[in-house]
Amino acid sequence: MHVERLYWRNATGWSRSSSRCTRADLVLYFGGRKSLSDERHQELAALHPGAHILGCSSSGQIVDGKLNDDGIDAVAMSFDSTRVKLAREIVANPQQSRACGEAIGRALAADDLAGIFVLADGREVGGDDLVDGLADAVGQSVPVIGGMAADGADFAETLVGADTPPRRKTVGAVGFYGDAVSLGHGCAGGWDVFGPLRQVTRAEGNTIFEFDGEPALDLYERYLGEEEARGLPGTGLRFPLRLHDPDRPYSPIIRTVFAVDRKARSLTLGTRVPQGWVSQMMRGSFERLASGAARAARRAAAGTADRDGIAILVSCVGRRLLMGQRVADEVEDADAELGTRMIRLGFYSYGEIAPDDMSGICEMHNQTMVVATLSEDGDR
Amino acid sequence: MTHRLFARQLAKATKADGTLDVAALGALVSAAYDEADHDRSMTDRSIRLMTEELKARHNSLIESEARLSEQNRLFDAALSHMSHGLCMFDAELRLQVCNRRYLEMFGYSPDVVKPGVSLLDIYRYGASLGHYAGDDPEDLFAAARAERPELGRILLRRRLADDRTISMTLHPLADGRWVTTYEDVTDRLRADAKIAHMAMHDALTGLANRASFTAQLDFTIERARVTGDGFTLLCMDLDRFKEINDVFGHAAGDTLLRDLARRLTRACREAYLARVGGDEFMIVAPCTQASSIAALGRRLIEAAAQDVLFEGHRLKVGLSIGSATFPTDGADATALVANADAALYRAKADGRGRIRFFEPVMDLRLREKRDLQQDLQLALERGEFALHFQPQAAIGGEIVGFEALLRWIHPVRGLVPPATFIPVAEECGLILTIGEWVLREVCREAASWPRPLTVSVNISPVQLRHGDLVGAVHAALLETGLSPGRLELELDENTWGDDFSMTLSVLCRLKALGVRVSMDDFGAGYVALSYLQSFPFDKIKIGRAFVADMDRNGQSAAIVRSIAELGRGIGLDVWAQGIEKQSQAAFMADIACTGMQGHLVGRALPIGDYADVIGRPLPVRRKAG
Repeated sequence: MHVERLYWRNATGWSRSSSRCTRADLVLYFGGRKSLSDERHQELAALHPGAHILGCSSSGQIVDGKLNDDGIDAVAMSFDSTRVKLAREIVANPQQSRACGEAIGRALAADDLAGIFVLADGREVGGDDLVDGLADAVGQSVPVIGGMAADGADFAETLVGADTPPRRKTVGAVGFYGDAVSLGHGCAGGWDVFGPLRQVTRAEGNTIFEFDGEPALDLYERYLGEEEARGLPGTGLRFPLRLHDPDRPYSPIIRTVFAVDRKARSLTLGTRVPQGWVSQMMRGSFERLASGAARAARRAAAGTADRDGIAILVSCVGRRLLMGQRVADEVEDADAELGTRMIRLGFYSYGEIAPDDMSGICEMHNQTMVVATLSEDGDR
Repeated sequence: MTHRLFARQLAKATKADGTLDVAALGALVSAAYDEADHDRSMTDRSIRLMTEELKARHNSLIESEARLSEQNRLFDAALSHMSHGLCMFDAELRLQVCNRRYLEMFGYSPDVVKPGVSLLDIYRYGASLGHYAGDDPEDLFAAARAERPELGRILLRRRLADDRTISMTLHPLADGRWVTTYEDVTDRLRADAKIAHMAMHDALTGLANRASFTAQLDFTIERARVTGDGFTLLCMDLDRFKEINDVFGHAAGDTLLRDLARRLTRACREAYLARVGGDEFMIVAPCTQASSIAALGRRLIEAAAQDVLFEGHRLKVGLSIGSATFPTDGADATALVANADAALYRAKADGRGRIRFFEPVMDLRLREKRDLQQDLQLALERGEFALHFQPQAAIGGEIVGFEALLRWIHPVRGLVPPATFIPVAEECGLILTIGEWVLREVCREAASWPRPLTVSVNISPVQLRHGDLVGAVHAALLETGLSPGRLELELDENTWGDDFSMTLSVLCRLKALGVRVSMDDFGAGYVALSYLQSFPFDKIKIGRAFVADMDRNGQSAAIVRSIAELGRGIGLDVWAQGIEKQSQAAFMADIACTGMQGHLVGRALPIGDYADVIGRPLPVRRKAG
């Protein structure tokens, strides 16, 4: 496996590392929404003709242990014996997310499918349904890793390009085939629950109207304070919600508020919340978030110390907003776990996709850092 | 050691030439301070709000706890004072809670039977206290484990070794637990058994009652049909029991019946004995041979013949028995009872105190009697009764009144003699209705006569004892307007029977209405002469038998003469009946009888034949041509 690092800066255009891929199979890129364009896509395609090109808009890129908010960062990779296939779907509305996942899964499914890396519009695609649809088509034994495209802290437009210029409503995924490819993954949050358990007493679909009979937004605004409340939904990232079925308290999910309705006093999450579920607010401390990121990286890197390869890091924008300058701590701490032979590339996302560390079931997460490692058996 | 953030800030603020951009560094550091402040303020805010929330929840929990505690106290009080025992067991049949009554009911110590203890251990404990005689605690527990909650509520009864019966109701709960309630139903079961016993037994004697007898007879017949074994039904009736009741009162009668029941029970041995009416008893005996039945009958008659002492009086009754054997004397209950009854009727007719076996001829007579009874019931509706009138004359020959005599002209049987139908009417009680009809008709008839002659009516003993005779007479007089002094009621010696005071009371009230009362057929029975003094009679009528015998038998003439003197002596009119000859009439005049009646005076005929006597104009005969 060969990996070439590329980056584009407004002032200098594309730069490439000295180590080049001559026949890249796949190019991955992440960049700020405003840096992405049809031209950049065409330039990349020209640099690596014949390679599949998959990327998305981000809330900042992670490159070799550092955070970068400029331009576009990419890697090109060529495999010795691994096949790569790309599939793309357009999602007209979020209700089609599951069907879209199934379609992509069907397109990629094969007996030797070893894993899938997927990127999806972070605002207009239901990540949960997408992952469920993918899992339905390929089965839970195939790890699905990826993330939801982001847009800084703006929540305006999130773009995905999959052998096409980056566009809204797009889902793109690559499947890796064969015995040689090795996909490691880890997923961790590091958030702490606080405050009392609250029952979701009124909810419809993805929207929570009441906790314990009190309007959901009232509670949320009270904790945020007046100033932060004005910044909703962006500031909602500070207090993710831990939710669980009352009958299954040990299988919680963590979700970020990504929309509010000030009239209805409701919160909208990226997932369905059944009435009767139990919720608890979460908050993060810098140290615990950073150590969570390190834990995810450690799991992903297990057994890859002597291999060349690429580590893909997908972390939640909520962590970044909360940690401010200290976000570099989690990037550094994760980086420190990945050894010396992995090329690191990643982005801050609106949702992370990976198998759950405990259950092994592929899910969309919020407020986590997902780390995946990709290597081939011959890379020793 | 430099803080990692500050190291990054330093690196970021260091220019390419290695010099430090102090302003940039200041901005970074300042921003970091702002972030830290903001984070701290958010943290403080969160902690404060969380503390408030936790405090509110804590208060709410305290309130809830107080409410729950109060509720628990109430539940505890309710459980403790329940009349039922109550336990709750978990799905593994370990005790979770039980109330005081449960412990009391089984005599359990709360130190042993407490939450957590298994039902098996409770059974073992109960067994050690002797509750489950013969039942192994392990078996009881296995049975409890085998109960299936999906079948819903389960009712069990357990008889404890101390003879108490505990009713248990097991209520399965959805989560696999059981709530079990216990009730000591010993008293209730005893009461139920008593009620069941009372429903089937006679309260006075404790013998089986009629309902029980009917069931037993049906059962015996069913069994006999299967086994082919016969049996005998004995129908028994006490002789002279009514007299005991009338003379000594009901307490005496009750004492006698209780005593008699004991003796009959002993006498009938393995046979089934029931009291089916006031002084009527039935026996179902498992024998068919005449000798065995006769022996049983003798034992019973002897048992009944023993005197009973009551308040210094010796009470004495007799027993008449009729027997009918299955299947020869009746193949079903109805026939068997009817035939045993017919045999009893015969036993009484034959002089009482004896047993009679059913014979088919009895059945025939009985059937005839029943037919007659049925016809009698219709006779009034169909207008088959008629009244004939026999004239009564003063000793000088002048007709002063009539005796009304009832005639039944049956469309098929023809003229049925009173001696045939009156006893039947008396037996079935129809005499009351017929008697009222007679009274009304006689009064109506007499009231229509132009001449104010007297009219006499015969009164049955049954009317005197069981009917409202005074009311009926009063009503007839009122309805018809007949002057009471023209009506005479004739009672024979049988009429006053056993209840002296009652008879006297009725006669006095009749007299008070203004009617006359006479004693019919005097001398034919055994009435005490003192009765003549006590009862307010207006006249005595000498028995026909004496009059008829006078010509052949000098004693009869003497008796008639004596009666006449006796009557005169106590101030009563004396009348002679059955006067058919002039010589008889002369004799009566000679002994100064007041009046006479008989064919010599006139036969009993429809009143139309005596139109001239009663002063009714004779119909004008149209001349021919």
